[in-house]
Formats: sequence, C-alpha cells, structure tokens
Amino acid sequence: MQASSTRATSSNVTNTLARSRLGTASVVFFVMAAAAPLTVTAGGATSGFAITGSKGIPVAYLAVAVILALFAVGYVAMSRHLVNAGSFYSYVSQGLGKPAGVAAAFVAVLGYNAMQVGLYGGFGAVLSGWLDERFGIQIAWWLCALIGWAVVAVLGVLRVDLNGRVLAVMLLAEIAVAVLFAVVMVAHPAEGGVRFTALSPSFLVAAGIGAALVTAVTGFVGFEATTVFSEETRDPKRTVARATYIAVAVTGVLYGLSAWALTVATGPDNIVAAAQEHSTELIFTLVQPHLGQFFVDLGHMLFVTSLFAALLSFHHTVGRYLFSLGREQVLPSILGRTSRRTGAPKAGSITQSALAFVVIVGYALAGADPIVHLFFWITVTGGLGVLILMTLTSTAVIGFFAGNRRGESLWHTFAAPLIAVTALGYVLYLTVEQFDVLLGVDANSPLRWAFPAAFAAAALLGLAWAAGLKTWRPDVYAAIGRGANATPTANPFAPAPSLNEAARP
Amino acid sequence: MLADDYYRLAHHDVTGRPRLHPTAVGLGCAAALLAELLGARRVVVEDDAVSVIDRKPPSDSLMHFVLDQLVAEEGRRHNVRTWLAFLSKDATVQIAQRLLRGGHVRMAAVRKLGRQTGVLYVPVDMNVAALPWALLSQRLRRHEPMDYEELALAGLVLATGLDSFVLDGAPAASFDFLKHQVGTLWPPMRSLLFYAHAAIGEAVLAHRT
Repeated sequence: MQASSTRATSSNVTNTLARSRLGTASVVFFVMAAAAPLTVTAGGATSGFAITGSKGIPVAYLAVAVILALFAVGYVAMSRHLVNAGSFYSYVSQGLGKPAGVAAAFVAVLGYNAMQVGLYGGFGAVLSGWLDERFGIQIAWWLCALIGWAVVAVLGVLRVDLNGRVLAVMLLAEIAVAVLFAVVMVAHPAEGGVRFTALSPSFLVAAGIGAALVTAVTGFVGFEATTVFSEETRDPKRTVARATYIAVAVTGVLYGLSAWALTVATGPDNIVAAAQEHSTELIFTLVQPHLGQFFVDLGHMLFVTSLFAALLSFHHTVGRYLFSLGREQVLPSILGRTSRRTGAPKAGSITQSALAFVVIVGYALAGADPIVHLFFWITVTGGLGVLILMTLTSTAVIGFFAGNRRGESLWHTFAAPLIAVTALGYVLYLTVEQFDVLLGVDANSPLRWAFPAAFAAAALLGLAWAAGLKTWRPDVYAAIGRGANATPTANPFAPAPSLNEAARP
Repeated sequence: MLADDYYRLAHHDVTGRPRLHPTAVGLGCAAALLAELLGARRVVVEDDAVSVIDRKPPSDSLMHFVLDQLVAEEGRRHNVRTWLAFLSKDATVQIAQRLLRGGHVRMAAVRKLGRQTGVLYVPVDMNVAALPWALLSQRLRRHEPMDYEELALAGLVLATGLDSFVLDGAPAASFDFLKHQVGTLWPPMRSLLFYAHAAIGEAVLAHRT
C-alpha cells in the first residue's frame, strides 16, 4: 500500500485518538480553574494595595497581561519543538545549556513551593475569619490551614480527579461573582463619581510600581501550564497557543477591571487606607450594603474553594517538577516513583506536603500574621521566582531558535521573545530594587535581600549540582530537561548508543 | 501467551481488579499486544517506527485483528507512541475477552449504589491466574536464567511499574538483577518498552488537575 493512495480522512488511528483529545475550551478551563480568579481579585489585589501602598495595581495587572502575552508568543512556539514541554527548566536547559537548566529547575522548585505554601496562609485566615463572623465558631487560622493541608496531602497522594465539570462550574461561578461585584462597585462609586485614575499609565513609571507589577505577575502564575497538555490537544500547533492567549486575556481583563472597581468604590485616594483596614474582607465589605448577605456568603464560599483549588493545583505542579527531576535522576530517583494504584507522583507529593506542614507549624509557633507574613510575602516571593523563570525562558527561546528557526516566523522566534525579555527583565529589576516596598519593611531591613537571595542561592546550588553531575554522572547530565523521556539509567530500556552505532554500516 | 500473562499479572488473581492505574494498564496491555507480534516476527520496531514484516494471518484472532490494523495503516507510518496510545484504548478489554473465550475468566458486574457501572473479568482459577506472578517472582528472587517469554514479561513488568509488586520485599540486588536481565532483551523489544515507559511517565505529568 502506498502512502499517497490513502485518503487523509480515513485513518482509523488518527480519528480514534482525535476523539479523546482536548479542545481549546477544555485547556482554558483546566488552566484558569487552577489560577483561581477569586483568589486574586479578593485576596491578591486587596493585599497588594494594603502592603505596597501603590494605587497602580489595576494598571499593573493590565500591563503584566500584555507582557505575558508577548512572553507566550515565543514560549508556545518553542513548546512545539520540545519533549517534556510542560516545565520551564526543560526550555532553559535546551535553550541556554544544561547548567542553566538545573539552576532553573531549583529556582522553579523553590518558587512553586513558595506559591503553594503561601496560599495556606490565605486559606487558613479567610476560612477562620469567615467561620467566626458568620457562625461564631472560633478556630485558629493555623488549624484551618492544617485541615486544608491534610485534605490536599491526601488528594495529592490518591490523585483523586476533581471532576472537570465541577471545576468548570466553580470557575464560571467565580468569574460571575467577580464580575457582579465589580459592576456593583462601579455602580456605587465613592464621592466624586467614577474615576479612571487607577488605570492611568502614569503609574507605570511612578515610584513603587515594581512591587505592584510582581503582585500582578503572582496573580497570573498557572497560565503557563497550557503547554502541559500540548500532546493531548486536537491540534497541538494551534490549540495550545489559542488557549494560552485566551487565558492571559481573560484573567488580565478580569483582574484589571476588578481591581479598578475597588478603587472606584472607595475613591482612588482612599483605596490604600481602606485595604489596610479591611484586608481580604474589603471587597465583601464594599458590596455588602448593595447586594445583601446571600451574595456575600456565596462570594466568601467561592473565595475559600478557589483558594483550595489553587492550593491543590500548585501542589500538583510541585509534584510534577519533583517527579520529572527524579525520573531524570537529577534529584534522587525515589522522587520519580509513582503510586501503583493511582499513578500519583507519590514521593514528590509527600515531600511537598512535609515542607508545607513544617512551614505552617513554624508560622503558628512564631505567631506571625497569616495574611501579611505568609499569604502575601511568600506568594509574591513565589511570583518573583516565576518571574525569574519566565525571563530565563524567554532568553532560552531566543537561544533555542538562534541559527535554526525550525519553520517558525521571525516574530515568534526573535522579536516577541526579545521584547518579552526586555520587559520581564525590567520588571525583575524593579522588583528586586523595591523589594522593601513589597514587603512593607524598612529600606534597610535585611529581609528585603533575604527573599531574592534565596533564589540566587538556589540558582548557584543548581549550577554547582550540574557541574557535579557532569563530572560524576555524565549519563544523567546528558539527559537533563527530557523529563519522562529521559534516556540514561533512568529508563532501563534506553537503546545503548554503542549498539546503535555498531548496527550502522 | 505473553499478553495473557501480562494481563494476569496486572490484575488481582482473586477479584480481577487492576493492580495499576488505568493509563498504565492500558499502555502495558497495548505494549504486550505489540510484543506478541514482535515475538512472532510479524512486526519489527526500529527506533520509533513500527513496520510489518510478515502479513500472513496469525492463528490467534486477537493477534490477527491487531496485525490487520497495523497493515491497514502501514502507509501512514505512525510511530510507536501513536500505536501505543491507539491500542491502549481497547487493549485491556481485548485481552480480557480472549481470556474469556479461553474460559480463564468470567464476567461479573461492578455495582455502585445498586447501579451497574462496569464489568470485571474475574479469574475462574486463582492458581492459574497467580502463576505468571509466582513464576516470575521466584525466577527474579533466585537470580535464575529466564527464557525469552519470561524476559519479555519481566520487561513489561518493569516498564509499567509492576516491579514493586512482583519484587515486594525483595533485596535491592533482585531489582538490579531485573534491570540487568531486561537490558539483554533484543533491541526492537527494548525500543518498544522504552516508549511504553516514557508514555506512562508522560501520563503522570499531563494529569489534569
């Protein structure tokens, strides 16, 4: 049978496989449910106003959405040419070399862990505050956080599928509530009417904007997971790209407008003071007089569930990273073990849970504030880590396509990534320079250097680790960045190179 | 037959419930079907390409069916990963049906809340069902030499993560022995197992949360 005599539409294999593939909408839902919009509009934005003292948060969300869309151009283009396209470090190792890849992997593990653990602060504080206020049940925030932790730890090992439909309904409800709240706040502006001050681009060059920008970046973390599904999509070339842009656009507009609506309801000049007074309750306090208790309760409930969805999703992200690294034997191979019954990356999941437990208990013993010191500080530190990764990844895209464009256009391989590197690099510079504003500490406090230095230490450790692997485990070093496709000792069936070469004439 | 033995190993010898998560069982059974054709010299796997080398109808109906599919789409040059993904959709049920035709299993309804939600293939004789596991486990624990069929089965076990079950509680030396023995399989079989192993790993990463 000749290839040319077979009609393109008649392949049983292709048709059968296509039936179970994901469409654009499914990918957008998976990713956005993890990004949990209400977590950001009710928690991230209000804490951002309160702690950074910047009024430019709304315009920062919009600016970051534009930067991330530019970042996605090169990111998605490169994902089409990679195995293990789901994790940033494989981009870096294939674009900038393996030592940089291991450094990126260490930064990623630290950053995503920070994102996940920080969310426990928000989850615990919001749940305990709500139970106290509505039902008069007084439970310490850390106990609520530990209950959430226990559920996440169990779900992580059992890998129970949260039903896709349930997630979709919750996501749509979250968006509906966020939009409703925004509309109500805009309809009842503070004295002086609806003002667009907070959307003024002049904030982007004002002092203290670095803190606002990294807060905004933190809100978007999770959108990069679209490429995880690239092998399962109907049309890998277009579905992933489309889903990524849609996710960035929808979240960007939603976050920007919702944060702007907050400034309308309080008046642009009072937003910082109001946010400092009410913290994560601000959005509910503002809509309560106009909407009544039912919607406020619904909003609270969805806030808690969205925090939980985000917790679970970042838990899986960390588990995935540890699994990839364990499978490649870059980290101990025990992390590459999966549970026989469920296929969950068991060892990675347990490691993450153990770390989170230690941090929650540590914060409880130290008596630190869950919203400021855990939720905000630690998640924006995670956001900083992801910002570093995105900057590295954009650079890697340019490096990967330099010399060979592999059929992609100049815009995808060079122009857009270059603009993204410049913009992300500038945001990164501003963030590190203004980290004291971000933490709300004194400019001379050693803390302002401690958080960024943690990533520098992780990166240096990664470089040293890569050098060690190159010397002592060259077979492992050769396969860095390939994830489950790792060829060395990790996969006993890897074709022995000597045999293959011997077979050639 | 190899796929029958793999199916018995991957399912509980009394209840018939799978010992692995569904993706791994599906991909493992798909790899077992291709391995049968490979062992009968009907197809060959080179790098990531599957090619048919002998298209005479096999005597077994399931092998015949699978080979027909491979022959029908020969011109499209699907790679091993695509074939594994395609065959994994039905491979488990197909092998179970073959065991059913041979009188080795019987069908039982799975009920949840009084409603039938699925079908289990329960072994008729648990001694027969547990045999592949018992033989392989003993061979590996005693570091005994294995023939091709046993070695191929050991390869499938290692590729799909059943090794921790077969060698439960065994010393690390037994695991090393397994890895070493599997490394001596002929290249087409190793290539097939490599892609099965990688596909299962990918499935872990692409889990939808």
